[in-house]
Amino acid sequence: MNPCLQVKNISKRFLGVKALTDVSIDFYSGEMHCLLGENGAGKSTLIKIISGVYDATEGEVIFNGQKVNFHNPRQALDAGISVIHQELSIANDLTVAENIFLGAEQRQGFKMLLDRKRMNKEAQEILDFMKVDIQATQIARELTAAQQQMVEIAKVMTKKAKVVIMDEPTSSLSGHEINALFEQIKILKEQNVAIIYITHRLKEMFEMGERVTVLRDGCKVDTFNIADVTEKELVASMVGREIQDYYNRQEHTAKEELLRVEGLTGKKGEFKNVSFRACAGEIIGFAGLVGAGRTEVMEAIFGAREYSSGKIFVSGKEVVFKNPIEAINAHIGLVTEDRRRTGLMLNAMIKNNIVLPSLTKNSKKFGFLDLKWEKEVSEDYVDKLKVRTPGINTVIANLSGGNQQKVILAKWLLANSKILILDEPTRGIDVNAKSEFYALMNAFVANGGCIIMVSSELPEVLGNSDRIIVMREGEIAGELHYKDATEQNVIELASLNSKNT
Amino acid sequence: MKKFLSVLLSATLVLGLTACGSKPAAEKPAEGDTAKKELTLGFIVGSREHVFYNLIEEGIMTASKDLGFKAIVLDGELDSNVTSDHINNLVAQGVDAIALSCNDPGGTTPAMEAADKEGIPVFTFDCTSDVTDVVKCFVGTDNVEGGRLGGQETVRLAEAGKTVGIINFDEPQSCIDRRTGWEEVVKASDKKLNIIDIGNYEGDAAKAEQLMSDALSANKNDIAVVFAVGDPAATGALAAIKAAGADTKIIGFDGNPEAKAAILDAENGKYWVSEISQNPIEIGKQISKNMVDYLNNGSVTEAKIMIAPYIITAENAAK
Amino acid sequence: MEKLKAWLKKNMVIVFLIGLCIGFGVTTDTFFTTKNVMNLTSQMAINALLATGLTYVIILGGIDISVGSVAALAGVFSAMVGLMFPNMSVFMSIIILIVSSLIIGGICGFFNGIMITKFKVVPMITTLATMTIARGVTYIVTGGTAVFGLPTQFSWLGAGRLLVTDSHPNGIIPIITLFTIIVVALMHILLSKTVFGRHVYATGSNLQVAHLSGINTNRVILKSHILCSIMAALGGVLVASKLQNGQPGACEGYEMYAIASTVLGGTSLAGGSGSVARAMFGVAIIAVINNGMNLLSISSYWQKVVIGSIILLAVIFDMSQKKKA
Repeated sequence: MNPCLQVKNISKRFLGVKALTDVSIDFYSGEMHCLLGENGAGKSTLIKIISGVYDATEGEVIFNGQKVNFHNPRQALDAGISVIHQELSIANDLTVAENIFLGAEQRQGFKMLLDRKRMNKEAQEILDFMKVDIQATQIARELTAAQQQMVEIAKVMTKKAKVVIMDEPTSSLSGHEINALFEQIKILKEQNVAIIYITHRLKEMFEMGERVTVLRDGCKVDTFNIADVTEKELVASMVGREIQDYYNRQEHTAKEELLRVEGLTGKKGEFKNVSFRACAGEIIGFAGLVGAGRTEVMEAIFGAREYSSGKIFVSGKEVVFKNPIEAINAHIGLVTEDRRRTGLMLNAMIKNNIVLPSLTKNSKKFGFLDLKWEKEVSEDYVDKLKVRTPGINTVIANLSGGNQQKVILAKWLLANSKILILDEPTRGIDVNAKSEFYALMNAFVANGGCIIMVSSELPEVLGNSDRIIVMREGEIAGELHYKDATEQNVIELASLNSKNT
Repeated sequence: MKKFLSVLLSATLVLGLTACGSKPAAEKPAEGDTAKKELTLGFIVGSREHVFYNLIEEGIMTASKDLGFKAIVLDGELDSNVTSDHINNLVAQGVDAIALSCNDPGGTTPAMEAADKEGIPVFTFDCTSDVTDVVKCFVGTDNVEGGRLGGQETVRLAEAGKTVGIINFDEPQSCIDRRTGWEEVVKASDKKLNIIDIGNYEGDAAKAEQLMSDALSANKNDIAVVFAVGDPAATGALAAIKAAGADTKIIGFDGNPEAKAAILDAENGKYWVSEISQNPIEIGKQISKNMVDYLNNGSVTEAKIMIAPYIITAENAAK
Repeated sequence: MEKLKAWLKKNMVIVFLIGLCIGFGVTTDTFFTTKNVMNLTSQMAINALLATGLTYVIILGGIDISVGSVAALAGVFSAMVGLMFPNMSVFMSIIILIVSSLIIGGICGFFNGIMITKFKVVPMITTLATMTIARGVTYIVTGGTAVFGLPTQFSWLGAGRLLVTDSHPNGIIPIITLFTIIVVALMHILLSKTVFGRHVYATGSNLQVAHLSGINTNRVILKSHILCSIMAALGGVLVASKLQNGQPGACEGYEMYAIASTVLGGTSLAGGSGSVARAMFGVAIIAVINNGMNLLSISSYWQKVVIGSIILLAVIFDMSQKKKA
């Protein structure tokens, strides 16, 4: 069988820095080919070259047996190479059908008018074929992240793409949504489409993939047949060494109660009657499907969302936070699920991000900034948390996801948080950085802090938490000690309709 | 909160509408009542943002008391579109005659002709339209003549061979006319004055200040007289001259109250020595009188009445 | 060499400004005279104050197009207050001017801020309304007439000069320039060296992040709008002081020049970055072009074309630099 797409001896340099060195890979039709590597290994650069965003410095791309040279994504798209980006490119105010046909609208009346009827009909046919419950006439804004992703896939289907590149498509999806996505991938494979799939989740790879290429520091390490390789081998080839126990579970001993929530109920029914307690020295995991109301509960605790009834106690005292300021003063920190949108000032320097919540308390007379303090504490935390950066003056957008997350953690440590709420803390972070982040979490609770971790990655929840609280449709479905918890019973709690505690 | 706001909003709207709607309806004269009908005259002034037009309005109001007619005065906002709408509305209200300051003849002529077709005589003041013959009578300032007066004053105040300057406003026809008249007289004088163009002040006093101070720099303070085509320009020039320590004399144009005050002031009067004054109140009175005459007699004595500007100096400013 | 190149790229406005000055210095014989340079600095003052205030709201990702109208309102207000004190001292006149600007600026800015934070009206619309209302009020209180008859003391701050010498009987250094430098410097320090300033950047950079980091973003926005309007009002009272006269039509369209200066100085309309000091280079460029072209007797219409083109070029240059980075 001839490869559908080949990259040959590709190298790419940015202003003298090598991002890719002599990479050659063959991709075959009807196969899912995974790209694996830590952040910065060169995966994104490679797909950007394939899809025409960058020109390669050296080497060539061969598509359908012919050498191609795309100078922009449009050319690649027209040739049959589609990309589904991590950040979805959905126009929120357009309908599903309009999104699906965006840039390739069906026209009527001397090509002057949009043929809405036909677009809606054809879009609905595709959606029905995909067996997803979305109406073509719905406004995209009303859809969940997972549904929007389905729209992206529908878009690809209408384009009759021969190569589909997916960049971490599951990072914002929950378990059953991932399964729905996999159904679509199967359909694509049946239609003889080559899929290039980037993920940090090995499990997905073993479930769906045919081949995997591991990249490290811009070089290809090897391509494996997935059937012939083990998880351990892959991780070892990714990081260049073997990681023994990725989660490095440590025994914690719960001490005094720091947080207690009683009967918390949201104004719009986002969550109902939520009660739990969290103690110093504990990591509490919150599992559940996307949309189960976990994020909303955390926002309510942090004073960023109004609730209609219920009580919150911090260190035994009842509190009512009208805004995050009061929550921060009570030593609560929130690491939000969307780093780029709600976690960081992307265009600001590392140090500016770290000190933001602590500025007021550490200012000099008359509200002047203490720049010396800012420099010292920032350097201290960058050092302590091993943030890989040229310095504290680096603009944070230039850091990898894992290092960005460490900076956010530093921000809350500096703000003297005792209760840390982490919402999907390792989303889009590579294995090595994850492992480091877990170690930091353990150190934090060992020092008397308390962590509440919301995560849709079950292994992460199971591997780190002392207790696991499972939410379903806004309510707490059950609580498990980690020793009793398995993927099986957590998924059951999260998705079954009957209550069993 | 939202509810409160919407209630408040609709309440204001309703109130506003009834307030606007009730007045004309209530005061509209009963039809068929021809015995002794009070005349209703519509006026559209160029802009209420200019004291000049406000003074015309004052003249109109005085005339309305003296001659016994009802005056409706509207603000044309120096916008031909707004002015045209006003003309149409006045026609709809059934006024007996309309007078307007025709700042943009091209834009307002269609509405004027339409009013004429409806049998409502149209008059103009301050600015008129050359492109239509429906205008029964025009009352305005002779701006070219005013410019000539400014020129005479310039020649009187400047020594032979000195530099004299003009601060223009390039867009309004009235200011272009003033400049034409001024240049005509200054160029014809045998004093061989050196004329410089200080710039377009665009109606902004602060801009005039900047233009004047730059002109003084460029000419090393050697400007004997400056003619300002409007009082804001003279105000700006005054500040610039004082700051530069020059002894340039200013001739203003308009006859606004601040000009008279400056001429009479011990300090400012050293620079601002002369003013060409229009007579807006007289314009308002004359246009009103001619409209009433036309409606009573079916004709006017003269189709074009030019109110001559006059010179104000320290001697007659107090009056 | 590399460093120099990088510096040049980053500070293109400064290079451009110096180039302009040299250009006008060569083509006119009056550009570099003490008198003209001093005039130039005093001509910059109003726009400098407006641009300083605008820098705050533009960093927030907002805009304020009401500055020109607010300035006019404050100007006539101060003149009307001034008329009540015909025998005022210089000190008294300064108090009148500053208090007037605090009152008018405070009210207008508070109004803008509340509309934006409490009623969630977008800044463009809020300030458009304020622009129209303030101008209307100005004409209502003056009846369209200039407010005149103020004593000479009233013009000390706006038109007075220090350092009287034989060759300069009116003094050399414009007081308005010194006053503006002090105010702008204070505003620069407030933005760059205080916690409040940092909160302005944070709010403009990412409102959500700022809110979740315990910053009272509404208060930051409100305060910034009050500051912006006070700066505008200060500009307006200085115009009144300079002209010894309150002009209801003053400062019309000045918001556009102020926004242009801020953008020329590298403040992004998307918010999150910018600086008062750099905005001053934008102010200087526009003032130098106006002044130089006046000295060369070039029509004001051409000045508009030139300034517009330079703004476009500056923004294009800025974008291309950001793309490369």
